[in-house]
Amino acid sequence: MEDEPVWSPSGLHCRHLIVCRTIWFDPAKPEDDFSLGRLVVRLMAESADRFPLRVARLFLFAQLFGTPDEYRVFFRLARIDRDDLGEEVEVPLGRDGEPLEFRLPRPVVVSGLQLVDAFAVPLTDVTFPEPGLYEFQLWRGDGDEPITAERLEVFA
Amino acid sequence: MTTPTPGTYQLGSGGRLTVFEPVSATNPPAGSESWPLANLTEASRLSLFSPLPGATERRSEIETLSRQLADRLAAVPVEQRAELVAAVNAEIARALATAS
Repeated sequence: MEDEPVWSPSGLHCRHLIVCRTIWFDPAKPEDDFSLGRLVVRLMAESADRFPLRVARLFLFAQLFGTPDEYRVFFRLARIDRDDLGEEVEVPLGRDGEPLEFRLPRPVVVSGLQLVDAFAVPLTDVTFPEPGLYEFQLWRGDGDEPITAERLEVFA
Repeated sequence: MTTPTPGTYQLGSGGRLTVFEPVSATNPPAGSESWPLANLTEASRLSLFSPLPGATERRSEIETLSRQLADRLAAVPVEQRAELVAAVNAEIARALATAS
Protein backbone atom coordinates (compact mmCIF):
# COMPACT_ATOMS: atom_id res chain seq x y z
CA MET A 1 0.00 0.00 0.00
CA GLU A 2 2.77 2.40 0.96
CA ASP A 3 4.58 2.07 -2.37
CA GLU A 4 1.52 2.48 -4.54
CA PRO A 5 1.62 5.76 -6.42
CA VAL A 6 -1.10 8.26 -5.72
CA TRP A 7 -2.90 9.98 -8.54
CA SER A 8 -1.16 13.11 -9.65
CA PRO A 9 -1.36 15.35 -12.70
CA SER A 10 1.54 15.58 -15.11
CA GLY A 11 4.22 18.17 -14.54
CA LEU A 12 5.25 19.87 -11.32
CA HIS A 13 2.69 21.55 -9.09
CA CYS A 14 2.66 23.24 -5.71
CA ARG A 15 -0.09 22.74 -3.16
CA HIS A 16 1.20 25.36 -0.73
CA LEU A 17 4.07 27.81 -0.55
CA ILE A 18 4.44 29.31 2.91
CA VAL A 19 6.94 31.76 4.38
CA CYS A 20 7.78 31.14 8.02
CA ARG A 21 10.43 31.91 10.57
CA THR A 22 10.95 28.44 12.03
CA ILE A 23 10.22 24.78 11.52
CA TRP A 24 9.98 22.40 14.42
CA PHE A 25 10.59 18.69 14.16
CA ASP A 26 11.89 16.15 16.62
CA PRO A 27 13.60 13.25 14.81
CA ALA A 28 13.15 11.19 17.96
CA LYS A 29 9.38 11.59 17.69
CA PRO A 30 8.54 11.31 13.98
CA GLU A 31 4.97 10.43 14.94
CA ASP A 32 4.52 14.03 16.03
CA ASP A 33 5.21 15.20 12.46
CA PHE A 34 6.46 18.76 12.07
CA SER A 35 5.16 22.24 12.70
CA LEU A 36 5.68 25.52 10.93
CA GLY A 37 6.30 28.39 13.31
CA ARG A 38 5.68 32.10 12.99
CA LEU A 39 4.07 32.09 9.57
CA VAL A 40 4.90 35.28 7.76
CA VAL A 41 2.14 37.41 6.36
CA ARG A 42 3.81 40.61 7.46
CA LEU A 43 7.28 41.49 8.59
CA MET A 44 7.57 44.45 10.88
CA ALA A 45 10.99 45.77 11.72
CA GLU A 46 11.52 47.81 14.83
CA SER A 47 10.89 51.47 14.34
CA ALA A 48 14.58 52.18 14.84
CA ASP A 49 15.47 50.04 11.85
CA ARG A 50 16.07 51.81 8.58
CA PHE A 51 15.62 50.48 5.09
CA PRO A 52 17.26 48.91 3.23
CA LEU A 53 17.53 45.98 5.60
CA ARG A 54 18.22 42.29 5.73
CA VAL A 55 16.43 39.46 7.51
CA ALA A 56 18.92 36.89 8.75
CA ARG A 57 16.80 33.84 7.92
CA LEU A 58 13.40 32.99 6.51
CA PHE A 59 12.10 29.53 5.69
CA LEU A 60 10.19 28.76 2.54
CA PHE A 61 8.01 25.70 2.90
CA ALA A 62 6.57 24.05 -0.20
CA GLN A 63 4.32 21.06 -0.79
CA LEU A 64 4.98 19.73 -4.29
CA PHE A 65 3.26 17.05 -6.33
CA GLY A 66 3.00 15.89 -9.91
CA THR A 67 4.91 13.57 -12.20
CA PRO A 68 7.46 11.60 -10.14
CA ASP A 69 10.90 12.94 -11.01
CA GLU A 70 13.75 15.12 -9.85
CA TYR A 71 13.24 18.80 -10.54
CA ARG A 72 15.58 21.77 -10.47
CA VAL A 73 13.72 24.62 -8.82
CA PHE A 74 14.62 28.04 -7.48
CA PHE A 75 12.99 30.89 -5.64
CA ARG A 76 12.80 34.48 -6.81
CA LEU A 77 12.03 37.47 -4.60
CA ALA A 78 10.50 40.54 -6.23
CA ARG A 79 8.90 43.73 -5.00
CA ILE A 80 5.40 44.33 -6.31
CA ASP A 81 4.72 47.88 -7.40
CA ARG A 82 2.13 49.57 -9.60
CA ASP A 83 2.72 51.49 -12.78
CA ASP A 84 1.04 54.71 -13.85
CA LEU A 85 -2.02 52.77 -15.01
CA GLY A 86 -2.38 51.00 -11.70
CA GLU A 87 -1.22 47.69 -13.10
CA GLU A 88 1.00 45.52 -10.95
CA VAL A 89 4.63 45.33 -12.00
CA GLU A 90 7.49 43.30 -10.62
CA VAL A 91 10.56 45.17 -9.52
CA PRO A 92 13.71 43.00 -9.71
CA LEU A 93 15.82 43.18 -6.59
CA GLY A 94 19.11 41.64 -7.62
CA ARG A 95 22.38 43.21 -8.60
CA ASP A 96 22.35 45.28 -11.80
CA GLY A 97 18.58 45.12 -12.10
CA GLU A 98 18.52 41.34 -12.38
CA PRO A 99 16.03 39.15 -10.47
CA LEU A 100 17.06 38.18 -6.94
CA GLU A 101 17.21 34.40 -6.92
CA PHE A 102 17.86 31.64 -4.41
CA ARG A 103 18.92 28.43 -6.16
CA LEU A 104 18.72 25.09 -4.41
CA PRO A 105 21.95 23.09 -4.32
CA ARG A 106 20.24 19.91 -5.53
CA PRO A 107 16.99 18.88 -7.17
CA VAL A 108 13.78 18.28 -5.30
CA VAL A 109 12.37 14.79 -5.61
CA VAL A 110 8.68 14.31 -6.23
CA SER A 111 8.02 10.73 -5.26
CA GLY A 112 4.50 10.32 -6.50
CA LEU A 113 4.00 8.06 -3.50
CA GLN A 114 2.49 10.78 -1.32
CA LEU A 115 -0.26 13.28 -1.86
CA VAL A 116 2.48 15.90 -1.57
CA ASP A 117 6.19 15.92 -0.84
CA ALA A 118 7.21 18.58 1.65
CA PHE A 119 10.32 20.75 1.40
CA ALA A 120 11.75 23.42 3.66
CA VAL A 121 14.46 25.79 2.48
CA PRO A 122 16.14 28.27 4.83
CA LEU A 123 17.00 31.47 2.97
CA THR A 124 19.73 33.58 4.52
CA ASP A 125 20.25 37.33 4.33
CA VAL A 126 16.97 38.08 2.62
CA THR A 127 17.10 41.69 1.47
CA PHE A 128 14.29 44.22 1.46
CA PRO A 129 15.37 47.56 0.00
CA GLU A 130 12.29 49.48 1.12
CA PRO A 131 8.91 49.00 2.78
CA GLY A 132 6.28 47.49 0.54
CA LEU A 133 4.69 44.41 -0.91
CA TYR A 134 7.00 41.54 -1.81
CA GLU A 135 6.50 38.21 -3.53
CA PHE A 136 8.39 34.95 -3.24
CA GLN A 137 8.03 32.95 -6.44
CA LEU A 138 8.73 29.27 -6.93
CA TRP A 139 10.18 28.57 -10.38
CA ARG A 140 10.97 25.37 -12.15
CA GLY A 141 14.49 25.55 -13.58
CA ASP A 142 13.32 25.24 -17.17
CA GLY A 143 10.05 27.09 -16.74
CA ASP A 144 9.07 30.42 -18.21
CA GLU A 145 6.69 31.42 -15.44
CA PRO A 146 6.47 30.76 -11.70
CA ILE A 147 4.70 27.66 -10.44
CA THR A 148 3.25 29.63 -7.56
CA ALA A 149 3.93 32.69 -5.43
CA GLU A 150 3.43 33.92 -1.88
CA ARG A 151 3.24 37.56 -0.86
CA LEU A 152 4.18 39.40 2.29
CA GLU A 153 4.19 42.97 3.48
CA VAL A 154 7.33 44.50 4.91
CA PHE A 155 7.26 47.70 6.91
CA ALA A 156 8.76 49.42 9.91
CA MET B 1 11.01 20.30 19.11
CA THR B 2 13.91 21.89 17.30
CA THR B 3 14.68 23.22 13.85
CA PRO B 4 15.76 20.12 11.93
CA THR B 5 19.17 19.83 10.33
CA PRO B 6 19.33 19.33 6.54
CA GLY B 7 18.13 15.93 5.42
CA THR B 8 15.06 13.95 4.50
CA TYR B 9 12.87 12.80 7.35
CA GLN B 10 10.26 10.08 7.30
CA LEU B 11 7.24 11.24 9.24
CA GLY B 12 5.04 9.19 11.45
CA SER B 13 2.10 10.01 9.21
CA GLY B 14 3.86 8.33 6.30
CA GLY B 15 4.89 11.55 4.60
CA ARG B 16 8.33 12.94 4.12
CA LEU B 17 9.94 16.28 4.90
CA THR B 18 13.12 17.35 3.13
CA VAL B 19 15.05 20.17 4.76
CA PHE B 20 17.65 21.89 2.61
CA GLU B 21 20.89 23.54 3.56
CA PRO B 22 20.72 27.31 4.02
CA VAL B 23 20.63 29.09 0.67
CA SER B 24 21.78 32.63 0.00
CA ALA B 25 20.95 34.77 -3.00
CA THR B 26 22.99 34.21 -6.12
CA ASN B 27 23.07 37.88 -7.03
CA PRO B 28 22.37 40.06 -3.97
CA PRO B 29 22.10 43.80 -4.43
CA ALA B 30 25.42 45.60 -4.48
CA GLY B 31 26.49 46.52 -0.98
CA SER B 32 23.71 44.57 0.69
CA GLU B 33 26.18 42.69 2.87
CA SER B 34 26.45 45.86 4.90
CA TRP B 35 22.70 46.51 5.12
CA PRO B 36 21.51 46.38 8.74
CA LEU B 37 19.91 43.18 9.96
CA ALA B 38 16.25 43.70 10.77
CA ASN B 39 15.52 43.68 14.46
CA LEU B 40 12.08 42.16 14.17
CA THR B 41 9.78 42.93 17.04
CA GLU B 42 7.77 40.48 19.05
CA ALA B 43 4.74 41.99 17.41
CA SER B 44 5.94 40.73 14.06
CA ARG B 45 6.00 37.24 15.49
CA LEU B 46 2.45 37.58 16.68
CA SER B 47 1.39 38.52 13.19
CA LEU B 48 2.86 35.28 11.89
CA PHE B 49 -0.11 33.06 12.38
CA SER B 50 -0.16 29.42 13.12
CA PRO B 51 -3.40 27.69 12.15
CA LEU B 52 -5.02 27.90 15.57
CA PRO B 53 -8.68 26.92 15.72
CA GLY B 54 -10.74 29.97 14.95
CA ALA B 55 -7.74 32.01 13.84
CA THR B 56 -8.88 32.36 10.26
CA GLU B 57 -12.33 33.56 11.22
CA ARG B 58 -10.93 36.00 13.78
CA ARG B 59 -7.95 37.11 11.74
CA SER B 60 -8.93 40.76 11.55
CA GLU B 61 -9.46 40.95 15.28
CA ILE B 62 -6.16 39.23 16.00
CA GLU B 63 -4.30 41.49 13.60
CA THR B 64 -5.75 44.48 15.40
CA LEU B 65 -4.51 43.09 18.69
CA SER B 66 -1.10 42.52 17.15
CA ARG B 67 -0.91 46.09 15.91
CA GLN B 68 -1.96 47.36 19.32
CA LEU B 69 0.77 45.23 20.84
CA ALA B 70 3.33 46.83 18.52
CA ASP B 71 2.41 50.23 19.85
CA ARG B 72 2.51 49.05 23.43
CA LEU B 73 5.83 47.28 22.94
CA ALA B 74 7.43 50.44 21.67
CA ALA B 75 6.52 52.16 24.92
CA VAL B 76 8.04 49.70 27.39
CA PRO B 77 11.63 48.72 28.20
CA VAL B 78 12.98 45.59 26.54
CA GLU B 79 13.01 43.61 29.78
CA GLN B 80 9.25 44.08 30.17
CA ARG B 81 8.30 43.05 26.66
CA ALA B 82 8.08 39.31 27.28
CA GLU B 83 5.49 39.91 29.97
CA LEU B 84 3.51 42.19 27.70
CA VAL B 85 3.60 39.68 24.85
CA ALA B 86 2.33 36.97 27.19
CA ALA B 87 -0.54 39.21 28.25
CA VAL B 88 -1.58 39.90 24.68
CA ASN B 89 -1.24 36.24 23.81
CA ALA B 90 -3.71 35.59 26.60
CA GLU B 91 -6.05 38.18 25.09
CA ILE B 92 -5.85 36.43 21.75
CA ALA B 93 -6.49 33.07 23.37
CA ARG B 94 -9.58 34.49 25.05
CA ALA B 95 -10.75 35.93 21.73
CA LEU B 96 -10.37 32.54 20.10
CA ALA B 97 -12.11 30.80 22.96
CA THR B 98 -15.17 32.95 22.48
CA ALA B 99 -15.34 32.29 18.74
CA SER B 100 -18.76 31.00 17.88
